[in-house]
Amino acid sequence: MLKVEGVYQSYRRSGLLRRTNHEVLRNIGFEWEKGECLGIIGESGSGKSTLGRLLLGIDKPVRGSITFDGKPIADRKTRRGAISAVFQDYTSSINPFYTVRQAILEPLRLRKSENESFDFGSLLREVGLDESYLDRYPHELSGGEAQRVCIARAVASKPACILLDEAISSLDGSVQMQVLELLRNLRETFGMGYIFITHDIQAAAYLCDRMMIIRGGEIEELVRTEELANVQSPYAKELLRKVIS
Amino acid sequence: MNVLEVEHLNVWEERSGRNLVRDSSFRLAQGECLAIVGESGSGKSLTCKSIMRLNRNGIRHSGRIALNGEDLSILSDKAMRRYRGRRLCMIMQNGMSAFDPSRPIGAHLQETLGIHYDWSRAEREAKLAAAMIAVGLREPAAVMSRYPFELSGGMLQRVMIALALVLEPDVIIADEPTTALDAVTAYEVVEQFVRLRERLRSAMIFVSHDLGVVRRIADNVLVMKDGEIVEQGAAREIFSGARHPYTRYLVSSKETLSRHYKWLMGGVDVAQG
Repeated sequence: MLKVEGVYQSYRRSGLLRRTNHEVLRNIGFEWEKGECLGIIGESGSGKSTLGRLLLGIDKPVRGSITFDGKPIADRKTRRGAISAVFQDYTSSINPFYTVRQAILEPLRLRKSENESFDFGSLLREVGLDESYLDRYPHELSGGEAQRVCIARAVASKPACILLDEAISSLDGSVQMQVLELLRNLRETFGMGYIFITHDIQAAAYLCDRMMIIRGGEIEELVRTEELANVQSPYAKELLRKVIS
Repeated sequence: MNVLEVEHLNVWEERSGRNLVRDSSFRLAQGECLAIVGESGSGKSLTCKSIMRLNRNGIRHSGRIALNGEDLSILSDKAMRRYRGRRLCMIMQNGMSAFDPSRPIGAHLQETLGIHYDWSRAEREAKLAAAMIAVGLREPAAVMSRYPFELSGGMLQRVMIALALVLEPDVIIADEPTTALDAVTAYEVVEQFVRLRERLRSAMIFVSHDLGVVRRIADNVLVMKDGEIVEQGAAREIFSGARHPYTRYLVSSKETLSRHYKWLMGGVDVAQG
């Protein structure tokens, strides 16, 4: 279980004469249960990606705590095998000198479990690719394929949670749908949970159990997806109305 | 009356001779909005850039492109420059790279208008300010004094629409104008495009891979795949009964998402086109 309590984050902005503190997140608190898919929805600049970085432990909050099964997420040992990530920019997410095989092995090597005979074939088939991709380099892959490799890499270490930060936003419409289906299927197969950060409300509604709407660094509303039609705050209502379906 | 006619457009890479767009023909009537849809790499942007004659070096094209019956391919580069902006106006995907990064927005807009119209500086400024207010930029003076990097993607997109409003071109070509924007901003920018059409009554080519946006704005749709037009027709027909399997696939993947969303929202009134 991932527990976020009273998290604040701010960055120092240095000006010519004075330094100002730019507050990005204010009093964020929520819990993520194992196996759950939680959507984090917001406009650009709402602080959702900053929150994602904090959840991954690659950045530390100025105040508050983030724990995974009671242990601080900032500790590398806590994160290992617990949480992995897929980012928006698939072109820069894979080392360009690595083949697909090396890219997928990278997280396993860090865990020193690369000696286990690893079944690449079934993993790649699980994400809709096959063994023929193993010796290809990132530039030989299309956007959808590269993102699938990133997902395969995230799945390879069998984490409890995968954080997807705008992972489908830069893909074409039809490919987006394929990746969403893939994520649904993977969840059934491996029983993992997701934290799905996006501005695409329809995609989030398709995949998630709960949705957290975030605005200006604060949680505006947290609802179960079935209850989405009954959001209370005026901002959430407006956000949901402005969906081009 | 067709404003723009494209006949047998072929685009290829000079070095390898690889065909990028094959034998593409379509026409655009006065006041019509034609959407070009397809996946990345299907040749949507190349088609637009060929019309504007803005393809980068090494990309060649052939075929007849006529604006109001006048063949554009026989124009000199200098004559073509006068057409760009004034007659054919392109709205780019990435506002950040569409403006001169070293000067304030206002300076860039003034220069563009100065080339096409012999209005006084004050006149240009007044027209720009009115257009900016029309697209929802509340403080035109402040926007014009800013540099491109100081504005958000949605604001830059609106500035480009405002410029199109002032230029009153015959044809507006919008290349993925909402792709780089978040959902809420995209909604607002699409609304601005709808209003732009109502005001100018100029013809528009709208390139997008988002079928939701296309449904909201387009009269006719042209579907491209691997450099070829696989289907074209009225937007309503494409959405209800596409003939080509590829089009059906595109439409159905969009439908799955929006149907699920509408079902969740209990059929309440969401933005529909």
